Amino acid sequence: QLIAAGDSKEPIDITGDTAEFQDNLAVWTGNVRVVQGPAILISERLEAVLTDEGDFETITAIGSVRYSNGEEAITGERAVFNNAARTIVMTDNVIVTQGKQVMSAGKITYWIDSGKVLFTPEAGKRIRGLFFTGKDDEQS
Amino acid sequence: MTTLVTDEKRPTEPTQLASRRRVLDSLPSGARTTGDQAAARSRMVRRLRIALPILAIVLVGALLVNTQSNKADEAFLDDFKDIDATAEELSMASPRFAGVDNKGKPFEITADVARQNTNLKDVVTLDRPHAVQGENNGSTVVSADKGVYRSDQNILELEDQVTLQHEVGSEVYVFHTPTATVAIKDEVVTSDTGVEGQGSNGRELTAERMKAYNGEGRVVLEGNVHMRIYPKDAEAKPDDNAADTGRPALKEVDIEKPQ
Repeated sequence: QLIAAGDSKEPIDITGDTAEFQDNLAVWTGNVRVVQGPAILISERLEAVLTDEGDFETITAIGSVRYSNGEEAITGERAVFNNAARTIVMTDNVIVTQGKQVMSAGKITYWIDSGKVLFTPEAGKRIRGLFFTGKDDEQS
Repeated sequence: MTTLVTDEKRPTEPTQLASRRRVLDSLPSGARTTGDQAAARSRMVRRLRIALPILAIVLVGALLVNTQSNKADEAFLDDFKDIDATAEELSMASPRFAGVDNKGKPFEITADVARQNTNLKDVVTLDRPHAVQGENNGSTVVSADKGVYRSDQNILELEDQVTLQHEVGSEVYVFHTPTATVAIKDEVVTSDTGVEGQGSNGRELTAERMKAYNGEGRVVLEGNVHMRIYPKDAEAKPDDNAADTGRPALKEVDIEKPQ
């Protein structure tokens, strides 16, 4: 599996305006989109390091990065996906959204399979979050 | 007049008599030539004395006649007057061009048939060309149904069922495209009529345009580039409409950036 949670057997589709392959590095540019099952990763540029078998070892998404798996959505300017660790580390103006709840931080580490998220504030700043306890829903 | 034979002349010894008898016996004895036979022979000899000179004269005459007139040859040549003496097109079966490119890498082009128009010496049309550039697994293999090799520009233009085998990353993909151009000296294969590539495990790679830089082991794909990879333990081609298997639909999440 790649960016989808669990041991998804879904095929991974990568589309973009251009793609350049050299040795074990693949660089996609322009409207880059990686889709696997419900998970989707969008960015302006994507650099993938391939293993000798042609699988993805790491993926670095750069520029207007957006990751969603149908439940959470994470946006930022840069994201590094590590297949071995099964994590996505997102930096630069990071926002995580789950339904109506929103959190922002300097950097987040997201474990794809478990959905666990670690927020790290930017130097000199604090983590901010907006939670709904559910009462507001009844009143409105 | 009678001749007396005295005792002294008669052969006295018996052996002399026998040897003379043997000599007489060995002489052929045939019937005497009759008068008619002699007359017939004379008549034949007289006739031959007339016929042989006439025959000789006739033969000499025929020889003279034959050497003088060559009217028949001109007629023969007239039949072929409008046929051009030089060939329009040369063709060669199973041709093989071999050489090295700018970096000393070997290249080889083979084909079923090569045709060269004598007026266009630098252009060779090929049936079922097959080109190999480089060595071992770093090589690029290109083949097609038709091709034109321009030796002055060292370019091979391919069309109809073009197949290009090239490494992408560390994997060999086989690309199919309607047309492609191979710049041999620069080791670049270009196609802008849409390419479809297949790798191992059902992997696919498609794009509108492709440029393969063999010398650098680099491939650039442009225009709606799409790559499909199947995770290792997934079947090569699971049912394409996997999305209908009850998985949660993909929710688009709109994020307003905090002020």
